[in-house]
Amino acid sequence: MGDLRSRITLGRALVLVVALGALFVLFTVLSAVDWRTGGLRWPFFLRWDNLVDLVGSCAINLTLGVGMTFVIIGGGIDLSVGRLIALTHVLLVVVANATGSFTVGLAACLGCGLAAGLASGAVSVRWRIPSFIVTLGMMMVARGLAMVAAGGKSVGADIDSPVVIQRFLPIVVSLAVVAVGHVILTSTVFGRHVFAVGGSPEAARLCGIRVGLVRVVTFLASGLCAGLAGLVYWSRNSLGDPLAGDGLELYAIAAVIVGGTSLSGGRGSVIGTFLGALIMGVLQYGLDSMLVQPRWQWVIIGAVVIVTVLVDRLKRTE
Amino acid sequence: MKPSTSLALIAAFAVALTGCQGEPAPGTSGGRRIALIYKATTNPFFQAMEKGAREKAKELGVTLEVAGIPSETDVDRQANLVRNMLNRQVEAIIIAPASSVGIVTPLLRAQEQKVPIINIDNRISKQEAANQGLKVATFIGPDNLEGAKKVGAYACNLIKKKLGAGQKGRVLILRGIDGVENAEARRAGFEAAVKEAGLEVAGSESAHWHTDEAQRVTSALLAANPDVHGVLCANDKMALGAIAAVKARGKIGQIIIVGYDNIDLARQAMKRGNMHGTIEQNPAMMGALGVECVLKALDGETLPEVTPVPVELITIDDVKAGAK
Repeated sequence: MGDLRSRITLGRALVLVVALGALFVLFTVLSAVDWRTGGLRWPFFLRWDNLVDLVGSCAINLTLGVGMTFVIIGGGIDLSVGRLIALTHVLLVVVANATGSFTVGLAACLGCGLAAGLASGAVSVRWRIPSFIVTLGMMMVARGLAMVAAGGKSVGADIDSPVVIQRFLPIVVSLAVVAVGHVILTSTVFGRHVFAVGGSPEAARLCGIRVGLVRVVTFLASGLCAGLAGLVYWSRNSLGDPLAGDGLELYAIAAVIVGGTSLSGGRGSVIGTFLGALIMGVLQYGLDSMLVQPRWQWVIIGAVVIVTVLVDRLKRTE
Repeated sequence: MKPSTSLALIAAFAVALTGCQGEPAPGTSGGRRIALIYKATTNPFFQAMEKGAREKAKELGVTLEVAGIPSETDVDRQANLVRNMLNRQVEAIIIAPASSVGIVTPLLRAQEQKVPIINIDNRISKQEAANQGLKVATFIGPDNLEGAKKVGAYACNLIKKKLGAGQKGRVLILRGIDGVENAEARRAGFEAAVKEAGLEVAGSESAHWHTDEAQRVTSALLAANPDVHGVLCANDKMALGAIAAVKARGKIGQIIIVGYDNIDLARQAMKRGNMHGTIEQNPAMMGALGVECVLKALDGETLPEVTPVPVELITIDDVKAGAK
């Protein structure tokens, strides 16, 4: 039964791909106009550097979005991931600075993400507290601990990420997370269990699925993704910034929803999230490239989120 | 959509990326094209700076492309803007960094592409720049240490005059974001002024430049130290928060409050007698100097390491008299 719900519908995928393509063409055309002279030029939006930067700018949202997809399909939500980026990458920098070893720093970064995910999931499942509340608390804890770990200010990394890592690691990590997430969700027993648990916990329990365990693992996945997003943040900025990640959990949730995953659980796909995150990323990056003021960007991105979901809803009721 | 189709989609995307290696843009006609990248776009200080830069650019026939982040601290987003501007192939960059440390890495690419960098407002960390080998053409900024000393000394003198001899004045300090150079310089300036005047620092906390946070922090500090005589705030927005906290304790007018930046709301507060002094940093002049210096740098001129923008003390008397 998981199979039907785990596949993004063709119609949905089509809407998203068309939207993505349309945005891309739009920004390409806009970048081809030289606004000073009114003449045409080679569209800088198609330059190699620009495309690499574009995908790089989507990396954090892609990574967070995959973890969030698991949690939401399983019937939960994770508000802590934005601030966990701050905590995990600050730990990476601080621990790597202290030990002189990047590997130890990375272990601390990913370990911290997993531990936070485990804590949120376990508390929420064991004492039946809505994950909204537990992860809201975890968000604040992570914010505070990031400040504590960083000593209240930005920390420079002794080990800087080389330019190649800076540009390509975010892309490699995020695409790998998408691919692995997609395979786990669609082709493993655990993936089917996530859908079952999110769709109807009672039915899943009667089928012999360990509902609590499955839910905890979805939060572990989300925590791990937050750790990986921390790695991406470090690679992009070579810095431990305890104020990083503000509000990124909402971007991740928006990407998941634009991608067609149901907020009430039991239905969704990683591919949808992938496309959703790219749409939001291309939009933000493109608007930045066209020097659109941030105040208008909020309006436009918010409207696009609503319209995408609306188009899908209208298509379904037809 | 089958899993294989979806994977194919990702693969196609990756291939499309490698296939799209762009040609360089043709040479642009007309004047120079330069970028101004800043932060805190809602802060009147930076709006004045942008205006100054735009006017100067117009006067000199330069195209100025402006982008900013709404927050004070979103390093990742500002790094994106640097990359955007490089992809737009601007000839030079003027930047007010959100982080004096974090901006170094993204700017290295500008240096690689021989795009000169002018640093304004918040100075890039010397140590981090040296570590990564970044060289900026010049730093244009107000002398924060001098400004904080000026306004700090003014506040301390007011307190001393009020208390007379025999009683030692006590003050609170509200700091900006620790580790950011201008915040550190202002803190040092305040501390030096307090020490020189023979007063005592009763409490010192960071309120991260924010009004609401400053209000909370000041309330807490006042609860712990009910007998303080002044609050020295590293910017006016925090001074507004301090005013709210002092008001709530019914001590407005009795406690000397000074800020930094000379924003409109601070001037209003001074007119009402709620605040006593601030520092005008001439942001418009800073923006204009940025454009002038960038043209010199493009012409190959060597600029001094620091180009100072004069700071000016604005007191409650100046504002009430309509003098400044």
